[in-house]
Amino acid sequence: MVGRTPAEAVHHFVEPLQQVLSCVTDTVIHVSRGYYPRSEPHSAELHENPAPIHTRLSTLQLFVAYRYSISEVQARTLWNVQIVSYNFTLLDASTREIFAYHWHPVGVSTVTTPHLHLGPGALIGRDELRTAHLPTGAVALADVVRFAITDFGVIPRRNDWAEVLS
Amino acid sequence: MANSTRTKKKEKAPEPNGVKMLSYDEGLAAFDRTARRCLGMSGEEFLKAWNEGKYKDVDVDTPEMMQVIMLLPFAIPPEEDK
Repeated sequence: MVGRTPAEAVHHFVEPLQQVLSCVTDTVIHVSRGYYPRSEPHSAELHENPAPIHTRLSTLQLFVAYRYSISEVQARTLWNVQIVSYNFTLLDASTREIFAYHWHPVGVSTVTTPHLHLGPGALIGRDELRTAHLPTGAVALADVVRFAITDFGVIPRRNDWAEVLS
Repeated sequence: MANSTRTKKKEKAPEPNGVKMLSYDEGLAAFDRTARRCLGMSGEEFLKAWNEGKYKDVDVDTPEMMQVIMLLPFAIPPEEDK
């Protein structure tokens, strides 16, 4: 995601995510302070995090967070935003985690490849799976939102959701 | 008479179309809410334990913990922001 200024690059990063989110929630994305490169990554999350997303029978909740870095591609004329980690978590009505897609290649965990956690809300009985890091490829927010609609029965807020998420 | 341009409050730079940037206080409040929901402790308590290395030998790659850790940048004080 590039831009002529760091702020524009951040906008180009956030705007498509906001479109994706609008398929299931009206909450908006917030970013941490500063449109500038720094040693620690920046964060983006939802104003209401987790955001309620509704099925016909219940209300689930979606937690979304990214960390991203801002870098200069061309001196003072072109800036880039790069995702450095993500966390997409679906929770049940009691805020128990059903699943969480993680990618955090740098940091505190020894698992640096994209993976999936199954939480207590998944009602998994096998011990290994309760703590497992199930390998995945890179997962996009659009994939998770589509999954929530098609498999969990989350009611889309817009008629063109399939197009937006494609 | 006071110079109106001198006393006029400095306007904040406009946000790029709809992207809301949180101030340090707003970010800290968001971080605190998540720490309380996920870990049952305040953001301040978590930060203290984190900075003291109390989670060094703990598997923090859990759905609850990683929601909090992802938001750590919101809790970076301006004076440490480099």
